[in-house]
Amino acid sequence: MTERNGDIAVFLDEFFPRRDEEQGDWDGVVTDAHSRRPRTFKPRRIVLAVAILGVLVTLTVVPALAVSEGWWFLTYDGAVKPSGPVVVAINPQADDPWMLVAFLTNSLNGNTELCYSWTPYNKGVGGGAMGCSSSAAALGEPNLPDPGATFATTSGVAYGPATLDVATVEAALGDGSTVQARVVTAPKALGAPLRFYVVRFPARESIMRIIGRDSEGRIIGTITIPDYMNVHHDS
Amino acid sequence: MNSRKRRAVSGASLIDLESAYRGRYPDLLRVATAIAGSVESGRDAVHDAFVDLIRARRNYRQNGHLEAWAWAAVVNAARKQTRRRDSLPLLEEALGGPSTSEGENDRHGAVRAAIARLPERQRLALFLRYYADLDYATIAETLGTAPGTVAAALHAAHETLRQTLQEVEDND
Repeated sequence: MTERNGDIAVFLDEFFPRRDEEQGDWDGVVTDAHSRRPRTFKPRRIVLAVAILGVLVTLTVVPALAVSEGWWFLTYDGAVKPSGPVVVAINPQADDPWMLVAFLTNSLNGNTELCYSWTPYNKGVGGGAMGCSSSAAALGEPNLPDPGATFATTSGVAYGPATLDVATVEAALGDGSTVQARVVTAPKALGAPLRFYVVRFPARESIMRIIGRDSEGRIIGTITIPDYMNVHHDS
Repeated sequence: MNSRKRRAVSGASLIDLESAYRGRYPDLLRVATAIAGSVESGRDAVHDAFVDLIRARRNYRQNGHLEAWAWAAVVNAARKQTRRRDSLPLLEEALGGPSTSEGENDRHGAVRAAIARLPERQRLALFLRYYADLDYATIAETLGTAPGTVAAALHAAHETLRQTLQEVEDND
């Protein structure tokens, strides 16, 4: 029914003669099928998996051990152990959920710095910002340094540390209006007697000033926001 | 595996696979050897193929032939053997055979070289046709192509090998 060429058949028979004496090893096949590792897991995949595992171990376990054990290659003169991240405030409202986290760390020159980050966790919403500053650079302190080191802002939010004297914070916006900030006292676990403020404002607006007042309404600190620090988003 | 078994239901039994293995082992080994380039690699290929078939037998849901499913596994395992050696089989060496005269050597050498130069689809179709005596439909199912494509591939392979033989005879 299907074509076979006699000459070619003769050649092919000579090249690889049929080995009728060989019957294979069915029992060995069955044994291997039930005992060997799945052959679908190719050696290359094993190598890749081991490599990825090695990288993960290197990136997680080694730094953790280095920090906990104080290994020399991750320390420097004057360093102190940093505090772990502390959740300072959470806004659980479904329409605007966010979290403010802070921790103490060391700068390369050995000074203690306060780092804080604000992160939205609404589904599908990205963004967030983080800043670090000298622990003395809090709203309410006299002679604040560069304003960029005293607070952080991203589209529609500004936040930062304040002294315990600061009872209320308001933000002056570019359209002349003011918005009240939420002010919270940091948990003791942070290791710094501070408050934090978070102010939300329309993303399309610029924030001009952050004003801190004491419990009697007196202004005890003002941060003037440079225009270049404003992140505008039309919405 | 001599009798073609159609499977509309899922799964293949261990008995079916054992029957296929024991019933066609010399042919399976021959095809695998031809593809992989050595008897040892051919044995490994058949072994590995049936290990995989046993493990995957519950996933067998084809409405096609168990025979073609098994052949496809063997062909693929043999091709993997060639890749493990980081090169295609040196068929011009592997396709060795006894020769009795210088002229015979020329003919064998020319045909060996011609087979080695065939496109892979033609070469696989040739091995399945001549070493396993499969029909076009089963070869097509094994290679995942159409019977017409198998016919065309075999026709082209025959033409190449006929021309090779003719050239050798003309030179004698």
